[in-house]
Amino acid sequence: MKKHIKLFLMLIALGMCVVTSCTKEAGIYTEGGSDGIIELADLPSRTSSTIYSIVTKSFDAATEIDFPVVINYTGTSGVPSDITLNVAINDAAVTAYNTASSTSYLILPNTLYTVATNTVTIPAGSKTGTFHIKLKTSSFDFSKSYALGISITSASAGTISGNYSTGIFRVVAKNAYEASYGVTGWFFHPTAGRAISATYAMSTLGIDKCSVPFGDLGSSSYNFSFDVSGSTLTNYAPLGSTPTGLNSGFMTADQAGASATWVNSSGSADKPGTSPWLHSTYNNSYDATNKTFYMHVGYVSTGGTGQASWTRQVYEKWVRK
Amino acid sequence: MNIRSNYYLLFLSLFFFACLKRESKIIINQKIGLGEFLYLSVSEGEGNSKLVDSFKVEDNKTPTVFFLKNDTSKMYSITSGFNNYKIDFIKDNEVINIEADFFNRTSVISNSPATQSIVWFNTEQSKLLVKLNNFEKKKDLQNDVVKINALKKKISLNYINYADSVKNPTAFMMVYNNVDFGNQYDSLSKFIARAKVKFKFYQPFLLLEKKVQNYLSVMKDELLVGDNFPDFKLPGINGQESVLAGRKKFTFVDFWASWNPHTLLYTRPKMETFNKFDKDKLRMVSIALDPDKKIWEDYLKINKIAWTNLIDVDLWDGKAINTVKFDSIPANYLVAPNGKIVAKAIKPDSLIIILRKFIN
Repeated sequence: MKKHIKLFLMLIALGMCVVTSCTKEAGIYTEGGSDGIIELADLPSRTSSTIYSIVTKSFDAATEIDFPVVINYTGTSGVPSDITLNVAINDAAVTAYNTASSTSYLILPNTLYTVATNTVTIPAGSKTGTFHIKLKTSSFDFSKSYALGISITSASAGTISGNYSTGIFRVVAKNAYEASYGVTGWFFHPTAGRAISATYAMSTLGIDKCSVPFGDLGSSSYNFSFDVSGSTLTNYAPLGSTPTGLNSGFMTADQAGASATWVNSSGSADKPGTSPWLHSTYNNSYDATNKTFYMHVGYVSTGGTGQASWTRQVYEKWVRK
Repeated sequence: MNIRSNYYLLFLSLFFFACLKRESKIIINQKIGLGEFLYLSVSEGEGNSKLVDSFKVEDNKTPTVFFLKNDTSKMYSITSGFNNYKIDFIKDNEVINIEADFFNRTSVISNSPATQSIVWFNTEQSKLLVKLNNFEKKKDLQNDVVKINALKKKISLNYINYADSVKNPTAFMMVYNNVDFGNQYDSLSKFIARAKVKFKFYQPFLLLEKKVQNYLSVMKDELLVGDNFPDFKLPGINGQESVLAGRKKFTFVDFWASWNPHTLLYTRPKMETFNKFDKDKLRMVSIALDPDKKIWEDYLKINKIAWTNLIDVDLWDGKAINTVKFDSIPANYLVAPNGKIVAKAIKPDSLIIILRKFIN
């Protein structure tokens, strides 16, 4: 008898599992399950540990760029007649998600996007509608992790999904140069010169502004930024805790913080990147065809008692991976 | 019987210790997007790293733990697929704790004295460098020149003193890039000897020490006027060639590099010299310390340089510097037909005048 009860309970448990997975995953979320469910497309399956599903969307850095949010009507055939939906930006969802998941997504400020209308129509015979957002990605602070909460708040017909009517969309913007680069070159040093073979991760700071770690000082978390203008690189600047100036361990052709001190420097050895420290190949330029940067940066050791021609200099070729 | 069981126990203990896998732990209390990967990489120097382990974060409330074999001190980094924030640390303890907030790009590393020490040192040096930069901007004040020089000396000494006193070899290697003794070769020699006492089992240091010793030997043994110029072979445009191949005439040997503008100032005077002097009386040999043969060949072609040109791609570790023992480039020597140096370190604007003194 005991044996039968155990078997009975096991069958019930198994049955519950099947029912649960039908309603939460296949039944509602994927097509071919329950008909007539209205849900945000593109969202991955929500796990039980999260209150909303989250997805990352990447965009080019641009003055204005389209962010189409697709809404699905599940089932094998389209809607019998037009369905009118109301879709809204839901900042509270981001806050709730952060609290529940111990995350710190920043609600995308409404100055960084526009929504023309909150009304979305799924036309008769169709299975999708689109909520249109325009992002001003070039104005993003690229160091921040922005997110938009989006909710389907009402529908003229059909059933709004319980699990996928609200979603969190992490919006990431990248410029055309952001990537990993294979780096080869030479580090000239009085007593410890060596070949360089490394991988640098270039990050976006603007449509044409990039940041990278600085050569051998990368391990000290030193970074610098520059602008790409055609094949020319300009506006070098140290970033974060990277000290500025000639003696900082960082200098290039037009590094703003250092240029004032260069005027006062008698030795041309202090000025790599400018004449006569120009090189035909490693000339701080960008080859767009081959997606390759040729870099020449360097620094003088503080005190500068060493021979000018033995000062620290870094010649690097960065090839996009 | 008792002795036998003692031996047995001893054997078991030794076996146990031999088999004991000592592991260290990197415990990360992360704040990151759920579903993102954390990557642990070990630095292989100069910005190059090797992925050691990864972990998918499903819950920010549970710390991520990476296990590592206990080996020598190395530089590690934590990165993620979430963004480009990178946390560097020196693994100098069996358990290292990291509070890593990838959203705000902040981290706190505890239990790693070497990491904490170098972060502190770099922060303090940065403050001094900012101060120095501010002084330098007020360039016309005589008073500031004194302050600038004092501050420069202090910053330079700080690098030396820190490297001299640091116990961790990875931290030493990181600071070494900024250590500069200028032409005080004895001080550099003593500094490296002191470091060797501490880091004699650390392979990267031993490689560095070899380079420094080589550098010191070059710096201390200078060839003088009157000395015999040592002959050696290097690759040229048409294969291996001796530097002093033309024994019956004067040879002007100069060392240069396409990447070093000081040496390029000699190109025009060398061309004029080549065109002015009798080829039967003067042979010219230019030796480039260039890592890239193609760039060297292009430079020769563009500038239509027709005299003998050789290349040493090993630069400061190469045959040229180790044979001739010059301490920097540009460097040049005028070698008489008897193989003796008759002039050296000739300035570009006096090249023809000096050579005329020896060659009619």
